[in-house]
Amino acid sequence: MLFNSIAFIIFFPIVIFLYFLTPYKYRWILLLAASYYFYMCWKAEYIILILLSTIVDYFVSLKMASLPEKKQRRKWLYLSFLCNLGLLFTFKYFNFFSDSVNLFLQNFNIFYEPFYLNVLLPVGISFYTFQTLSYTIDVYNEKVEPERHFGYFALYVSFFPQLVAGPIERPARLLPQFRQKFDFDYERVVTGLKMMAWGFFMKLVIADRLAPIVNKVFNHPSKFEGIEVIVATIFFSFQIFCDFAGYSIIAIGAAKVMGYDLMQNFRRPYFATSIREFWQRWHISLSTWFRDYVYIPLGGNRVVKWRWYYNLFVTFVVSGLWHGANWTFVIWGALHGFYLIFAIVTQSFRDKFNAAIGLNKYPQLHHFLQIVVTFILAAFAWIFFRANNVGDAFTLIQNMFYIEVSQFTWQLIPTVDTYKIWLVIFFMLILELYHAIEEFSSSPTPLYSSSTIVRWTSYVLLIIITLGFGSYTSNDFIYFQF
Amino acid sequence: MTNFFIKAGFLIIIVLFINLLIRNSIPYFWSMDTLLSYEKVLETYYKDTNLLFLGTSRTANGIQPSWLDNQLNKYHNLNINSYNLGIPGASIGENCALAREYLYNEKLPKLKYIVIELTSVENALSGQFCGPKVLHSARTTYWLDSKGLLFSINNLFGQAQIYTKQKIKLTYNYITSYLINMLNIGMLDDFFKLKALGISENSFGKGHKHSRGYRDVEKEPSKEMSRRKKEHLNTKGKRSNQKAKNSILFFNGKANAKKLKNKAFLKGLKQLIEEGEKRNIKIIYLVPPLIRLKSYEHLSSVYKALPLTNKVQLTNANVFPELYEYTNIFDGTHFTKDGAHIYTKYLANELTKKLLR
Repeated sequence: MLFNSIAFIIFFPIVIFLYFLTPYKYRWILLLAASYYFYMCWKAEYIILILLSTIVDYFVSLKMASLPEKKQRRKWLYLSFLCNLGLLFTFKYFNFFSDSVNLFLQNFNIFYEPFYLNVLLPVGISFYTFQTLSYTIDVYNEKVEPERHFGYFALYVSFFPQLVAGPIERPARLLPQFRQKFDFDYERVVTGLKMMAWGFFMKLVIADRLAPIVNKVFNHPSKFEGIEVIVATIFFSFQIFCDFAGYSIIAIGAAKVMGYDLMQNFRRPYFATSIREFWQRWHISLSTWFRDYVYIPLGGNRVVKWRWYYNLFVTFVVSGLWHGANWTFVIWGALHGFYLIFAIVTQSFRDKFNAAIGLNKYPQLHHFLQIVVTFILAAFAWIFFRANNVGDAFTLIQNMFYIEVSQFTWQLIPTVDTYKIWLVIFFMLILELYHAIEEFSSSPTPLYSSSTIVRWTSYVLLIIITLGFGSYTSNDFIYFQF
Repeated sequence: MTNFFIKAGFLIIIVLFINLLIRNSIPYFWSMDTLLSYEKVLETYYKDTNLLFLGTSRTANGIQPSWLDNQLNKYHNLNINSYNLGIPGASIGENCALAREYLYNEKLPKLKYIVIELTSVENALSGQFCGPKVLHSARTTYWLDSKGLLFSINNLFGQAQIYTKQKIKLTYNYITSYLINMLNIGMLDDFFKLKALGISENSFGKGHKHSRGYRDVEKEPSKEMSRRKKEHLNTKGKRSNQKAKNSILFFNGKANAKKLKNKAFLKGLKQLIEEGEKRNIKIIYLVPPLIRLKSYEHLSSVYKALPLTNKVQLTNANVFPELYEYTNIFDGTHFTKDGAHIYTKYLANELTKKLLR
């Protein structure tokens, strides 16, 4: 079920209504049934994968908790890995692997017909797999006690607001919340609904309006050049942000209405002053997951320098691969790893250079330039993320530099209506203006502290704009495919 | 909790009120570029139209107004200026709403006749055009008001042959689309787009301006039509022969007309006839050829119960065999240019009988 569907608009109030009517003790049953229904609306039979993952990890964690030795527990941890990563590999990576092996062997004049599995990628498999993995790893490391209530654990794996696209929650944070007794709290419900409204605005009015424009360029890379490619790249940077952050905000808001606090997943990433900071603001639940379960176990930065760089690079390549079974994602991840290593290596040189040209005397200008440069680097990497294949990405990059004066027209991208382009730019400016206020204001939620008239006008405008200008042609969330 | 519901209710009322204001201050318009272009051509160049054809793509690709006018005026001195406003995929509810638009709004001051292609309701408003999967659809924004909703739902539940599950699904689609209209979903965007870009006369292909709305399907067939054309050629006339047999069954009364009468449908059609009479505009319903057996089952009883002066049929293969000739048909449903010419010739003959009365 999509958040931006009539089905969800009917489903959600019914669940909320029943949730507050149901005695605390039995709420998990309602939420679990609702979560399974939510998932089964997409493809009912794939619920088996979630159930399998849930059952295996439930019993594995109980078994691990009964074993005092880490060595003994490790076998069970590997069983969990085998089950979860095995499913992930089969459904998400097998065809990519088979294809890559075939291409590799062709270099040695070994030709054969590669074997492909004819299976659909289960929605959200990367998200719930990582969520359950974090649970078993934490139990293995004795960071959390295993959950003995099967219902609560099943709900932890499948909690519908964050089931298919995160945020990827940790057991220590989410599991205890299922035991808490939440009453109807006006402030919390209203805050949750406001978040959902803002998420819908980001998704329907910005991301989905940008999608057809971006698709036009990225699906026909050889037809566009110069400004057209640059504009499409900037547009995609906003499309993916509004699409994914929009989903996360709706998810967090929906959970908040019921009383649950999910972790913040985005914190105005395009205001980051470095790539390192970008990853502290972008898909926070995933970047912290990789930090805790890949980067630190590899040794983190408490190793010799080359090993540190290696750890960083490997973590980002794996993160790229997590996003999709395609070399474009691997390059995207590698590029970010390279950015980070380059930043570390050149840190002292850049400090000296800034001092030499006197930039450090103008901290605000310096700060602004850092934001711009970080955005350019992130946007450049998005080309690989969005391109249909590696060849297309390089075509786009090559074409990007053919800038001609004739391209500087109001239309920006030929064959796309000027009206459509500038209307979406206007909405993007509204978004960034609000983010700028949030970023530089002393109040964490500046709009909430405004006068009643300002707040109500904002809410009404937000709803009217989302209804009147939203794109309502059944667009999936981009991150569903991961 | 009470505080929450009071405030939420208040917010909903404000939003609905503003939506109503917006809706009432925006003039009637069509939100689909191609349809806008049709209306623009009609109202800019053919304001003298006194006979308007409404229907589906069968009408759009089948009736040649210039030739029809010529015949009627030359041999019967009827002084007819017709225009073909057939819209691909239009439902009967959509066409009745359009007829009312021209009945009441005096956009065509000389209008005397409206000929509406009679289509059954079974596939109208499928998910392709409206409903939960396509929340904002250009196909419903301009006509699905409360009157259109009631007509469509009553019509739907009057069809005995449609399964209950399908009825529920389509009703859900209708109600969803109606609510979407009431909430102006996507409407502001359409309005501003219209204001910013204007209406192009050529959005619906370049041909129709000079042919009073008729579109030659052979000139600019869509991908889907080209695919269907291939399929039609492969059948070598089998399908059109089957359709011809179906049409004969329909007129032999084997479709069990009495039992299948859809009262709501008939009532809606008759009501439109009465509304037309009050404004001195004659409504004529036309049953076209090449329709499916199921459609005949839906339409037969309703057609037979309509007043004689307000109906025309060009579907009986015994009477109009050329309309089922394999070579006159483009893709099994639409006519080639030659086929359209033959169809228009028959239509001219049949219409003359009605218009001279």
